[in-house]
Amino acid sequence: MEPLLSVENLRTYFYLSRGVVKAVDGVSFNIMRDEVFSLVGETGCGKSVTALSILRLIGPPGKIVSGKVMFEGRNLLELNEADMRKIRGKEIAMIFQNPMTSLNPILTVGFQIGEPLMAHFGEDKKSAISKAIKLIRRVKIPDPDIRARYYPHQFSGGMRQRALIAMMISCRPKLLIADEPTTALDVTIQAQILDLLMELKKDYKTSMLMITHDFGVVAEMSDRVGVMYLGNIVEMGEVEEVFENPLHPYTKGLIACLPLKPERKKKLEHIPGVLPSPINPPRGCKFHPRCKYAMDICREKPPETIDLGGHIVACHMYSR
Amino acid sequence: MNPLLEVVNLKKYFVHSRGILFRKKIVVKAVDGVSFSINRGETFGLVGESGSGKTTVGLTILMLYKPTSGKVFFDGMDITEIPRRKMKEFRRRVSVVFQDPYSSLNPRMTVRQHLLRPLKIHKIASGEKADELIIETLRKVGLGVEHVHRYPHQLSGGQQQRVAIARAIILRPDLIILDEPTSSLDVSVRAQILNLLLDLQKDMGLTYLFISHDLLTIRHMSDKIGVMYLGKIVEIAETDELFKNMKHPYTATLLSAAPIPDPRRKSLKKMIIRGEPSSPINIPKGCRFHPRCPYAIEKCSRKEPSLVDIGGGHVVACHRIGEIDVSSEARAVWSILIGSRQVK
Amino acid sequence: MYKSKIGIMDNVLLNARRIIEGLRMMFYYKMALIGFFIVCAVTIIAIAAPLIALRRYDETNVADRLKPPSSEYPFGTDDLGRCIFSRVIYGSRIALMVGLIVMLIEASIGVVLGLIAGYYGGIADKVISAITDIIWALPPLVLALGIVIIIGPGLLNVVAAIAIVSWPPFTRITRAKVQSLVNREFILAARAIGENNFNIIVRYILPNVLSPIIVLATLTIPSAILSTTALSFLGFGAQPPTPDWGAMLAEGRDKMIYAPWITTFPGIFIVITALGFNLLGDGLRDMLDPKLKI
Repeated sequence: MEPLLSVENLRTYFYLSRGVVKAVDGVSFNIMRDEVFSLVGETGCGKSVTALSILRLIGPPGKIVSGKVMFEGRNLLELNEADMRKIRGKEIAMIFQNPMTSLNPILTVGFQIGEPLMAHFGEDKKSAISKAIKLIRRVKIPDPDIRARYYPHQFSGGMRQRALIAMMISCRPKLLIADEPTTALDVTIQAQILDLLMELKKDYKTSMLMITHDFGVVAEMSDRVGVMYLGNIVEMGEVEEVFENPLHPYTKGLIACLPLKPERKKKLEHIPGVLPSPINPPRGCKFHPRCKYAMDICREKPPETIDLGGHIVACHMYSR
Repeated sequence: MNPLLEVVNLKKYFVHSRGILFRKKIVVKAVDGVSFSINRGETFGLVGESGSGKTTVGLTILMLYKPTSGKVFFDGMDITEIPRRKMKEFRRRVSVVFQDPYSSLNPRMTVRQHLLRPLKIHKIASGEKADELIIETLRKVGLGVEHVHRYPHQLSGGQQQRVAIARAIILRPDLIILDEPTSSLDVSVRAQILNLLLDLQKDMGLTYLFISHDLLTIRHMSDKIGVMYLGKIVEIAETDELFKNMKHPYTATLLSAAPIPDPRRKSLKKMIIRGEPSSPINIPKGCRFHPRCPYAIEKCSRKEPSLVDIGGGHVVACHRIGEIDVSSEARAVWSILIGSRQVK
Repeated sequence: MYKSKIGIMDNVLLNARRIIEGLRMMFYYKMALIGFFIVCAVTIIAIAAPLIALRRYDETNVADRLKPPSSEYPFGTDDLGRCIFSRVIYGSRIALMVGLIVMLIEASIGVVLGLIAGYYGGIADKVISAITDIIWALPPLVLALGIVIIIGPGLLNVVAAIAIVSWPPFTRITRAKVQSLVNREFILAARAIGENNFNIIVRYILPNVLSPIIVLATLTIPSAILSTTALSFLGFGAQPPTPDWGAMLAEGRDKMIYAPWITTFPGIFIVITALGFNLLGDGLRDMLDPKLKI
């Protein structure tokens, strides 16, 4: 089956006065229709930049250097800005960690939720707002008629995230990108929002790209997952497969160091060392200075990605 | 044996004034009657969501906030009313590590200066002896001599937190208050810091008050856990008992809602409650949790439940204890996923 | 083995590194560099005034009254036959002294009050803020004028009067910065290790509020010079024969038509000096702003 979104060898670099940061350095993955794909990794691994690159929301000093982002047969990186604007919000929508940055503080929530309808479908204000109220009800905000007239600062954090979700699904996008959608929220609210996202995903048959650092969210939400380290996907596959049978030493380390052991207060396994500077990453395999299986070749040559029956890994241990 | 720290009915209210012409007093009841005790060498976990008052509890125990009422006994002495001289001793014996390591270090001080100040204030050592002690302490937290002259912004998040921990242990304290010490760190670094804290506790016989919202971490670290909701503790139990036999509906929701990094979680049911926590300015009458509680009855909105010991040090504040079983879903998640977990 | 020498090395090395870093940053900001050179030049002129000046500033030559600029008198002479060039050169001493003294008095009053108001809050804050607001609401030059009329004319009195009326910006800026720091975790951590209030203010807060204060201090110098000039121009400041630039403007103003050099040269020096400090201050603001760090 044809994937809905196919990212091929994407590279996004940031040109800083201190040097070039290769935030995304050759990333490829597919998202199928009706699928939830997660990108997981630690701070600075390039997961958010990947998401922003798909929507071409990278501003200077960042630049998409090469690659392809195929969405329904079109390469988004070659579209002109006007066509791209039609994609953003209508075909591909994005929700952010901090909903306040995407909501305009001086407009009512109802108007903002209706706005994409006016912009993309040319609806008049009245019908847009009445649709907005339906959407507010759909994302389970109580008293939608009254809340539509509220301003964002009158909403709590969880409520704002709901409002933003309503705004983003208003045009029934085919792909929803969620960048750490619940990181700023409390556990009980997080559960509500994740539940809502899954429900909407089913109803609207939307595919989802989930960007997160939390393995718990990954395990709960996604069908497939890609693990990123310093601008590369080091391992990718079905969630069950990656969690039960991690192949890359980095993934192994990350999963082993989770405090999820039957016996408590015992030492956890850990990945030694610190994240190297992204300006001057190690030669060869970027993970080799922290890897306990590192061989000579790891210091010399970056590993190729190897496909082991849908489970993809970039590590010299698995090459023949 | 006497507990090292005993907190009795601690309350901390913050009073703000609002309005220009008609000044109205707004009382934020951040901590509203909290009691617990910690034995020597033990780790007591305090878990709750934002606004539950867990951080305020920590800062009030440290006497960085003046308690509105209640008592805090440290090693037998009531620190809510001790003379200045004794206060200094208390400061030496109790230290703190905060969540955000960068903002807990002075941007204009080097690592050495951070560690030298406590030694100077408490006249422990100076000159060469102080430097030897600093190097030794840095080694204990896993930092090399080369970091001595660095400024906080020249260190990574994990290294900054190691410096903050070094500052907390350099006076050989008895109790350390750990306020979300790993929440702002990446997964791989978090494990390093948790291991370090466990090592230090074993080597130095430390007692920890571990404050966190992260259930996995707090379960791993604590011997006993108190669950806070809106300024009150709703349940206290030994860690394993709590995760197997939670009695309070809020504890059950919290444990059931936590995202667990195991794909088998997908197939297990989740307990999702409606609504959001009330504001600590406007605390609901009766049981604070009743507006969100799926088991609430009429009595819950009328009368506030008090903590009841149901045996073995397991205390719960719920009117419907014994009538309802709240634990099935959360217990399933934790016992199945963690009890049977094998990692290669 | 590690010796306690690290304590001294600490400071020497780090200060050296900081200075080098600072100079390197300067080159990023060309305007600041220009300002820096102007300030240096004026300072050198002030220090070396006896070497540069051709005559004493109060030496009169009745025979050479109102001479236009020539090789003998590069900036011409005034109606008493004094060499304008020499007087302008000596005048830089007065301008710099006035600027520095006013700045120091203002900064010490303003910063101390700001630290107290910001750190302690409560009543102390309310009283200090009220005083600050009242003084800031009054027109400074008129207020200074009033003070000088009461305490009598003279350069020192003018300096005192200007300093007394213009410290509020220091208090405001210090107080705001302190308030943003006071609940930061490193202050809580300092209290938790047993630091007393004095040490917290001096060791933890002051170093972190210093950068905006340095910027403000640099920008205060030119405004102090200009205010003194204004009061001197009105005749309340430096008394003859002190070669104050403002006083020189006043002396030359009625001869502007037929002897413009008497006012032109002091005027140019006032503008250049003020510009130099302003450029330097603006540059420092950019450099010390952590958000703009490269």
